[in-house]
Amino acid sequence: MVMAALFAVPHSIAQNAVSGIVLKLEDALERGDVEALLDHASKRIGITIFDANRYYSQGQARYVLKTFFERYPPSRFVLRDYYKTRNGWFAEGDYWYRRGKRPLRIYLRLRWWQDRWELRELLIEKPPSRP
Amino acid sequence: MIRNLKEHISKRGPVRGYLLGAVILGGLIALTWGMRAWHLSRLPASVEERREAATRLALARVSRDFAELQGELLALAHDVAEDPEVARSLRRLRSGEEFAAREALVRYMASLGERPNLGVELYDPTPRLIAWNGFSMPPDDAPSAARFLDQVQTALARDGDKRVALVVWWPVREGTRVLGAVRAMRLLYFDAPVRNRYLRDFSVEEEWTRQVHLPVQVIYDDVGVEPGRPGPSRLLQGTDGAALARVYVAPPTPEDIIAEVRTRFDDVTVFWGTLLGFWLLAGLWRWSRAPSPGRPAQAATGREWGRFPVVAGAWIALRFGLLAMNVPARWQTGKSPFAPLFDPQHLASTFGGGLMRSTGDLFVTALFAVVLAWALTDIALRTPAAPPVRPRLRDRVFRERAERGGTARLFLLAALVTALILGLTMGLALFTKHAILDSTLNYFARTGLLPENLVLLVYGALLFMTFALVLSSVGLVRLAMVLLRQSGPIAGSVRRGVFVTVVGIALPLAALYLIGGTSQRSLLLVALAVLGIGGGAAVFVGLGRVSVTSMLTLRSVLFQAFVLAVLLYPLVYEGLDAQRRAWMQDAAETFEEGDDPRVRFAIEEVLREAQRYDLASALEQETGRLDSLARTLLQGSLLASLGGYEVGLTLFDREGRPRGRHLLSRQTLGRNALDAVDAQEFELLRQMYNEVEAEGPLIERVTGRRRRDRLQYIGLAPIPADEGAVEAERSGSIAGWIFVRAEPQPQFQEEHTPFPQVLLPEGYYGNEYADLALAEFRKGVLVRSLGRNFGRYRLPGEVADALERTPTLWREETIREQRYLTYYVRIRAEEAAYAEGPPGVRTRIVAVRTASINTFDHLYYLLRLTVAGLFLALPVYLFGLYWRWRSGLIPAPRVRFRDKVLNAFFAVGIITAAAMGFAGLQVVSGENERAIQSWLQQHLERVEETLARQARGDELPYRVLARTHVDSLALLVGLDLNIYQDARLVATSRPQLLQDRLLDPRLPVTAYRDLYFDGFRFTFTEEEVGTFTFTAGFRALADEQGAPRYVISVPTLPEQERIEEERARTVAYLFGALLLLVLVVVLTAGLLANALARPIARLREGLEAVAQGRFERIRPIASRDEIGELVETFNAMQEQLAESRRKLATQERQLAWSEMARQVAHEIKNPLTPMKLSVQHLRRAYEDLLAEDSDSRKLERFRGIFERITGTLFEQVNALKRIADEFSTFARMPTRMMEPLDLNAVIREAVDLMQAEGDVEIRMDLYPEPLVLEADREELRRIFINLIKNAFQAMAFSPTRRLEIASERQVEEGRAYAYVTVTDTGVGIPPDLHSRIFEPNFSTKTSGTGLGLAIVKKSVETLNGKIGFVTEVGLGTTFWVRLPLKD
Repeated sequence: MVMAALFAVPHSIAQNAVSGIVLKLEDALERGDVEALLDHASKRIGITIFDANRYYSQGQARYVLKTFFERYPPSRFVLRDYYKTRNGWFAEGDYWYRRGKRPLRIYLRLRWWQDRWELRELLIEKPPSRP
Repeated sequence: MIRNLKEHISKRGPVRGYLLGAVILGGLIALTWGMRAWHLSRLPASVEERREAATRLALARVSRDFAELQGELLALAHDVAEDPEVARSLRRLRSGEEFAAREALVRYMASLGERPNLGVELYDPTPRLIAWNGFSMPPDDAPSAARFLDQVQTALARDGDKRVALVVWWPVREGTRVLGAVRAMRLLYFDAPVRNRYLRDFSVEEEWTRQVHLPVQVIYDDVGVEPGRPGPSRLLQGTDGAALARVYVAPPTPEDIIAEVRTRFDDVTVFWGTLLGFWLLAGLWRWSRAPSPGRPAQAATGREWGRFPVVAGAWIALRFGLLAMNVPARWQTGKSPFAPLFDPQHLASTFGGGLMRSTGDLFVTALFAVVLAWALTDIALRTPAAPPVRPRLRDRVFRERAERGGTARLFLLAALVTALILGLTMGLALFTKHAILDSTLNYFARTGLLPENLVLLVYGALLFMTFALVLSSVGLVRLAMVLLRQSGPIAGSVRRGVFVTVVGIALPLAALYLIGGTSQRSLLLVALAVLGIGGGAAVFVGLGRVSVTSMLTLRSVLFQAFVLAVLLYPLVYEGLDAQRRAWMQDAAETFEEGDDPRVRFAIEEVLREAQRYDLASALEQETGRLDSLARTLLQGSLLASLGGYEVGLTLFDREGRPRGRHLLSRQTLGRNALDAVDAQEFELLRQMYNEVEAEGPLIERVTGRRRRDRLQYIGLAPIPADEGAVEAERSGSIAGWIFVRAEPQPQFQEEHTPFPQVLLPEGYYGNEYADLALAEFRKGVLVRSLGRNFGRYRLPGEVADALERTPTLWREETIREQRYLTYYVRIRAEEAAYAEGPPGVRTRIVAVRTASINTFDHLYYLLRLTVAGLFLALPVYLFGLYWRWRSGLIPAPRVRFRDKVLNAFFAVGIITAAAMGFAGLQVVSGENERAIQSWLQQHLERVEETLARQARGDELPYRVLARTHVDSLALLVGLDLNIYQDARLVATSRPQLLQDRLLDPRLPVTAYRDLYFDGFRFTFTEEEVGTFTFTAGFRALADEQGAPRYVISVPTLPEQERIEEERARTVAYLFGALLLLVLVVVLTAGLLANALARPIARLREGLEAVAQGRFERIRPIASRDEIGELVETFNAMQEQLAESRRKLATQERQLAWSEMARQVAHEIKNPLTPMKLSVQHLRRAYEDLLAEDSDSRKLERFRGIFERITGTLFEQVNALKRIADEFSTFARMPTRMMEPLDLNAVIREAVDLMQAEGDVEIRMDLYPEPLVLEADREELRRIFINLIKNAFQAMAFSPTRRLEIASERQVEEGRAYAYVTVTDTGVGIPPDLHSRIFEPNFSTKTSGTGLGLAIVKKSVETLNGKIGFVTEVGLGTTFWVRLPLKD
């Protein structure tokens, strides 16, 4: 009973489609391709770059991500995992950038909305620094 | 160089000069590019050297900065340690005056004031803490050193892995004797538990990284002689030589070095390129405006129009060129103060192809737009030098004769100009909308009068664009007028011309309305207003009534700023409304997804917090202790603060058996039943945990216990046996599990303390959703909600009905006199994707509600926009001031009275508003503070009363507190509580805050002073969590001796945001009302100034007219005051002056005529006498001749001829004599023989004489008694002879000819008069001749001297009489004469 609610996913077709979307997003992150990344984004997308978490319009998100990719030019993106949540998918991976010694951790949250998968949130976190 | 170029341009002509400049700049670009290539080619050889230098410099910079930090701290410690008050108090402490010494030292420390990231402590030599200021840190190693207090020491204080502080110990000495020590601390590192707009991690390492542009890492444990890891590093030492930390700098890679050099050269190249662009533009501008000697002005401006598109195109290209070169953003990076302007995280839009890709770029674009609009308007205003606009336009438009095609031209021009202005307004609307929608700036904030800097900048840019729009509309309307003038006649009548123009304007507006509907209402209104303002300004400027300099006065500039703000506001509001609705839709979507992020965060916090406890060993023991642990974990957690949730925490052992439990709600199930349900859910989650190979806590949503469709949150984390959680799970060495669940309650319980939003990470319904309330309804019943504004359990019926028809619904609702905007969205079952559940629950309604924007909000936002306009107006005014000074207009030679009155009122209005605003703000802040204090005091009293109620017998509250658990007390009073004992925090209902170092374990020194030394029972202090300021109230619980035993503290932390919001709303209302006040004052000032100035202006005009010899009457003024009286007096004076002047003129004319008449009479009379004598002599001679020869027939014929001719001669001579006599009479008048006469008799004589001359019967109706007056008989008779003669002449061609003369006696004011009327039935006198009828030489006849009536008037006036007439054209005239009778 509980499992059913827990793993209820909108459409089986959508389930098949999501892996393709995740792979496209992985490729977009690998290339720092903002347009490809936003192709699948919702109208307003939550982007967290380190500390600042905000919801951006697609227009603003384009420049925010462009600036991020300029500051942290991608060298490699490795998708670590992606798994289902109640009404979407959650993916995480390591983002290696050119001058970085340690990768940034990137989380992607997708949701099924109006008959398509949408990238709803993108979280970028720095590796923690401790004294 | 520039001067040389200027000289060159003036000598050689502009084209060559600008080309030379362009060549120079092009050469500089080429040179820089060449240097770049040369430098880059040589770089690889020196790259290693550069890397080392950069690293060395970075390390040196960090060391210097660290030394400066120490220096500040040393100075602080020195100042305190060397203060005589400190030494004196420590001496007293040493001598046993404990209380007095502590009091003095606490007071001293409290007087220091708190500084961010700095703390100071005072110790006795033990060392025992005596007094403090600022944050506290655990002890460091310095006191255990052998040389402690011998000299100044430096150390590091560490607070677990949460905080690190640099510490300086400075001994307080008296000679060689040590009295105590000062410990000064500066925070170097702080690991914030969450990150949001108030809380951020803090680390000097990050500051240094930003400063040196290289990755910096500070290792506080690595203090050996040799670095603990490879890479360039430097030991950070204290001034006493103590090794404190080691700083590592990652050297730049060769690619970094190359990229940096490349960027540096690129920046210079782009700088030259930018200069070149502007230089070429300047050249093009000069070229477009180059004078054309010999060509008419119209042709010259025509050529300018031809070249304008080229210049405008180049200007636009330059803007995009700058964007392509990333100017000026490329120079604003790092720590530049303007760097945030170009950060897309604040604002960035793809609209306009990058024209607004950041706040700064939007502003630059706005400046470009203003310049372009100014250029357009400048040419438009200069184009028609002649002929003047008004007469020609009037002729063109209203000429009677219409020309083919004219109407069509007028229509097309009106439509085209309107369409262009509409298009530009649409552009502005789009820019405005995107500036708000593609932005994360909070335009809705009600934080005070001034918006935050970036919002101010966006508003400024949009106002500039609005200004550009208005300028363009002036130019376009002016251009249309010019084109209209240059074409032929247009329409046949005024009405037709107006009609065609109105239709031309209305057509594009109507088309947009039809296409866009009511959503375009604001746009249409703004476009219409812009058209009106532009058209009006174009006409006024064209007529010369408005000059550019007059637009730059302070009042005018402020007025323009306000008008621009008013014009822009509807578009801004459209954007704000769209943004607000987007937020609401966003929130609905997020809420629909079912997550309450607060719950997730709170569960995660509890699960992580549990790792701090030794749960593994507890699991080995009995159940009772586990229940207590579960209780400890839940109580005081954020989860306990959540309203509307049933919360439970269960501890499972490794076999999955529930061992300990605590519930924060009333449960009806027994322990066994709970065990079963818990175990089922735990098993499910554990399977998931294993499946997803989760790291750390796992939180999910599952079907609820009470209702399956009401999902609950469950969280699970392993309890490691002796390793970390992850490793424990991997290795299987786990001691057990911690399981937390939170299920929404159908009815919300109030037994919780408010949830402090400040402790939520960003993105958890953060700032954007702070004002929103969310709710979910199923089958019309509320099943969950967030926020306060949904106070009903059922969905309104009309909403449910409406949502049957449409999936979404926006409603303005009024609930308990508060207006809300609510968004309802119906969620279909397939979207929600519930696999199970009974039929009928699949449709859900999610609602989002926020307070409506009311009138005061509008006024407040308009005020903020106006304030932004004022910021722009200030430099414009200063520029105008300079310009007017250069033009010699300042100081002004004259100031209009109206301007003075307006300025005075304006100043009074502004000063009053500012004073009221300031005072109001003070009052609001003061009242707010008082309200908070009162709120805190009441709550603290409630806590004390609660303790008192639980007292046993005469037990004092402090004793009750000692045996009461803080959590149960906090739950009982519904407040966060902190308990202090002798300045130390001994219990808190929010232990998490303490663990996260957001709550200091020490009483603030000011509170300590107030409660322990000043003897207050209550006090409060301003506290901070990060940058979030809140108030904390403190109440002392005294013992039997009256000394404070415990201090209870209640912070407003959870309430502060609501308090701030209420304060912001009050402030918004205050400023909204102030704007209204200013508007009313300005409007009243305008009306009053006009009312005052109008009569004065008319008086001035009247006086000027008098000065110019024009005696015009001022138009009457509807004023009952002194000014009205003044105008009336002036008008009376004016009339008297005019009458006097008229009389004077008449006298002058008469004198002139008299003189002329005398001359004429004299000249005529002189030859007449000899002529007459000669003719008489001739006749006599002829008679003598006839006597001699009377038979001659010839003589007989001659006689006939002779007599006829001489007779004629006689007649003519006599006629001439009569004329001469009349002139003579008028001129002289003849010497009068004054004698008493009967007027009636004289009239009869005149009638007798004249009766024979005319064939008109003269009827007389004379007074029966003699009317005796004193006059010259001849002169008196002549009066009536002339009047009768005049009447005969008037009746010459009248069908009815009748003449009546009447006389009567009148008495007026005791004086007797003879009143005579002469009435004829002649043609009458036309009105336009009335004023001239008595003038000499005036006659309607072709013959005569025209002196008759003039002589009559003169004679009457000589006799002190009056003469006048009453006439009606076609019916006749009555002349009346009034003469004074002899007494």
